[in-house]
Amino acid sequence: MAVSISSLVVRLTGTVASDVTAIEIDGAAVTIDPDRTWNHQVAVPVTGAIRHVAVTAIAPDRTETRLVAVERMPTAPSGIG
Amino acid sequence: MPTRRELLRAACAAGVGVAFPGLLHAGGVAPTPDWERSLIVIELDGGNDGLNTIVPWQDPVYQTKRSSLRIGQVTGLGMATFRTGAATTATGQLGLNLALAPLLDLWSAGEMAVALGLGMAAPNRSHFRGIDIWNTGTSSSATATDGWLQRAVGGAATPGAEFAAHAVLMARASSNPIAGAGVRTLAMQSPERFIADAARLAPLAMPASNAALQHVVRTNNDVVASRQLFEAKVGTPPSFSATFPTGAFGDQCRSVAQMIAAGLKIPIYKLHLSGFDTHSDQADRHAALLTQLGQGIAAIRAALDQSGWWTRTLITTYSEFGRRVEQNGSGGTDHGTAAPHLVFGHAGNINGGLFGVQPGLAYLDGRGDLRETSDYRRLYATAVRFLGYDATAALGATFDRIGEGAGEATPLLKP
Amino acid sequence: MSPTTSAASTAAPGGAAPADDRATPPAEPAVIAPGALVVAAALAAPLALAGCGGGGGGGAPAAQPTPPATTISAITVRVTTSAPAAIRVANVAGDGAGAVRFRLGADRAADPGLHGPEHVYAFTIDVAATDPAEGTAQGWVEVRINADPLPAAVAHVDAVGRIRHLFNRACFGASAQDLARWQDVPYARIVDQLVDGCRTTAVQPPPAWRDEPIPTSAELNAMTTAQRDARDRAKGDRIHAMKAGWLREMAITPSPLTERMTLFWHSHFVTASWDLFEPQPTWRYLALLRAHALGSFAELLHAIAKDPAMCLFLDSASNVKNKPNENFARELLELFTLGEGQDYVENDIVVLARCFTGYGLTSRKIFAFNAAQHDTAAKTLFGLPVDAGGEADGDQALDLILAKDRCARFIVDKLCMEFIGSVPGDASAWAASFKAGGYEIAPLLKTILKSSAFLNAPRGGMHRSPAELHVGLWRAVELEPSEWGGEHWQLSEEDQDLLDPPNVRGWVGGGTWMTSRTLLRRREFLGWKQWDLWNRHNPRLRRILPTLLMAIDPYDTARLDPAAYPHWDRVGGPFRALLVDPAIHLK
Repeated sequence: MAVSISSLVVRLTGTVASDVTAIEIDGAAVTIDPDRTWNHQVAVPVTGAIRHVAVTAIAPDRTETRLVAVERMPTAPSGIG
Repeated sequence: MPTRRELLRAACAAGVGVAFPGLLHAGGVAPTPDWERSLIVIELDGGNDGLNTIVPWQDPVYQTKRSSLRIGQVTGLGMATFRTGAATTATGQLGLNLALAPLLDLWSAGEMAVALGLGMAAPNRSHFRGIDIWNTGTSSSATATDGWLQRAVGGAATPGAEFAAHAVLMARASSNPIAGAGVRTLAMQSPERFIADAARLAPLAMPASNAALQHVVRTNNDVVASRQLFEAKVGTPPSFSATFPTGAFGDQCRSVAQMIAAGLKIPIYKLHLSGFDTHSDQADRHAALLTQLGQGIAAIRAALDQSGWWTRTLITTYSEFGRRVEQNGSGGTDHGTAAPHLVFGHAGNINGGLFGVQPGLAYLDGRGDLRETSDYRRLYATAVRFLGYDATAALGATFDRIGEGAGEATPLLKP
Repeated sequence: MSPTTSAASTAAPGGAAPADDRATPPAEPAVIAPGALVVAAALAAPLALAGCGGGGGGGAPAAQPTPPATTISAITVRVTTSAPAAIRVANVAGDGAGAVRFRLGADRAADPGLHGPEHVYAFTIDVAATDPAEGTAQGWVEVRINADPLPAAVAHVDAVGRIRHLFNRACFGASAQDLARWQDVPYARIVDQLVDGCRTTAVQPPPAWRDEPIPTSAELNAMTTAQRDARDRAKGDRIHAMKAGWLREMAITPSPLTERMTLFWHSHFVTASWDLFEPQPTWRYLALLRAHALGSFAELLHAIAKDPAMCLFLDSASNVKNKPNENFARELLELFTLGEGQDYVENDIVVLARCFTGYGLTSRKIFAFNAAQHDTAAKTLFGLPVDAGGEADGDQALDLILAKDRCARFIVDKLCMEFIGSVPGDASAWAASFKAGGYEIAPLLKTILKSSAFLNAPRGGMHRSPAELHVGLWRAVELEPSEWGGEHWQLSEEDQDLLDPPNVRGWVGGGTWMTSRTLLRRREFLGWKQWDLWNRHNPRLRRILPTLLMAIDPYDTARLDPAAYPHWDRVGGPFRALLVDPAIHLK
């Protein structure tokens, strides 16, 4: 039986600025480690649906949201042999 | 009127084909689902007083316990077996409350059957739970969410483009004996109103994903499809010479007759007559209801006979419970237990008469109520078989049809 | 820390989005289809940020740029294969455990596998099975990181989508006020405040007849027929008033979650007002459910067992020593706590019924325990003794039920189905916490509503109940309470007669809300309502209604096309078509 990829998980690691007090991913709080990093795991849907993750950093004076999109591509990206 | 057999013989003798609709039909029991046939169930909402409908008018206990409510105006229906003790029976007369006089013609023609003593073990005297049990076809200690008729006809193959609905409920918000998935049920005040209301909907393309949206769209398209058939077949409803009683119930009866006669081929129709919860002032109220009931059924029969569909129709009543033997202090009766129900059909399909054993008035349960002599699901088994479906699958167990139990000589449904 | 390269090299202006953005709220957001995430728009059309240092548009910031609040510094790709294999991801060998980690920024130039615009990371995955016979496989994953933090307008859309989802599923639908109030609040905090803000009493005052004593049988018999008839008519009026009042409460309460939970418990601990036909006990029963709606399930269960409406309804009023009524006991286990056939045997029902002997009502239908009718013989329930004695036998029996893991699981599963539409794998952990925490509902709700399963539940994947459709519409258009009345009749025709569920199992919900019968009734109501709302001539309403009501894009696009209408109706027509679109029935 041929080998196949049964699952893919992408873990994102990030670093926060000094004034940030909280990180929320898709609305759920994520711990900020002592070294000011956070990490979060995203399961990559095997169907090829795009999984959007909203990363919201909260500081007293500002709130920023970044979007990360993770997708299992059906075909190889162009440029790759 | 010549019997079916006589007509057949005459036809064969003449050597010509006879074009009577349904003439060559197999009798009461349909071997397979027959989409030409219709079952009309009539809910007597509130708990019909069986003792004043099919009346043991000569019984001295009846005369005592119903001191002012007893029915004196009856037509004798014949001798019945009464259960007088755990192992004893007696015979006695039963009569038809003459408020139901229009049904006497059907009785004489052998088109009316009375199933006596229908009820259940450990009966429930609450309207809520009572009608729930009758709608779901369970024992009194079990609950279900789907109706007995849904289990009977749901999932069977439908007649393709001719399929209008599994059931039509003739009142906007009454209880549902065909609840559950996989059945198309329409509720309406009349076919005209349905055709008008459903005109608001337009067919929609089925979405590729989202099961919930697909369900909404499918429901929408089902109604559109039904409406098209309704408009084509009953947009101009057939007219009948029969006279229907005035009032909402009479209108329901007329609508059902129109839909059947228009050939919509809908297997189940439900009529709803309410007001039977006669805790007080029963005499006049019950008489008025029975009058409507009798006139309505007689009119349906006449209309369907005129249009040739009576041979393919069965009518039965049902109700959440009967009423207590002894009348109360308000000129009425309180919630009871077992009661008889009435079944009507063409003489080629049913044997008329009294079926089963009448609960005796001296052999009562601990609360002074009638003891059932047949499980009510025997009535359901009979109805389901008329349509050609498997009753055991519908009811979860096997129940002898009315008249086909141990020691019973004549079946209600002709084979 | 090395920031991502985004700030330095993209065409967009400086990455930071200062708080000024919120001070000048964006003009009415461009009509963005609900649920869409407009990443491309954010990058293609740089926002002119008011107050951002430096003149002109899109220029370099004059002052030192504020560092981004957060950056993505590493991506790890973990691959699981069907057979043992060596894995390379974009020429970087795995660690043998199927994981390959990229550090962004500094390492980027060294990775020949990366390509494309700078914030797109594409990984090819080469799998070589250890056993040569199994061959090789390939896969590809792309991770796109938004170079700039989302402009407030787009973040707003995302937040709006989450608020709409939360209010659709956990309340009756969002109103414009809800959006305005919550749009800048982090989602987790919204959930906390919604749950913490729940009420234990209704907003509307109780009716004047609430404490009116119920006549005894003797008093009833002494009445004339006319008096009894008048009394019956009054009872009927009061019951209708209660139904209408509850519907109104759902529409005007500042805490719709309270009413959703009260309705949930009503469908769980079923009584039927027409069957009881006594307004006072029905009112008290509803108040009891509301008081405990987000409190302790354990307390609610104990209280319900002695609630007069429940006693009447399930016949425990006739629960006497020699003839224990098993009705209540059976439904207690099957419907209220464990589920049919789960973790109990038939004999438990018999014993449980004996525990509740003596539970009854006075002639005025108030709960009373009749010691003479109590079965004092020894009882063993689930193999454990019930020996508290007297009225406390029933309470002890309930505690034995609550001690079962299955009980917590039963409630958790039901709540998951109510809000998520399915039962996620986390449910067993949630049930363990629920039970360990004393069956407190509020923390459980917070967990469910903040969970990934809830947030990622497919939008428009559940059916709106009649109450949610009607109340959602009212809250969305902010109808005055005086503007509606009698709509509980309409709900009843849509199969949701408040205070009278179809049977003891309550409302099944889900797809059963949508049948050929109910669809026509809903369509009739919405068809009538669409003109009513259009006539309100509120332009903001027209723009915001889809945002508030629609969990998914409207479906019947043909009817939404202005070209389908005569010229004088090109605005009104599509608006009215929204209200009768199939998508309005979904949440």
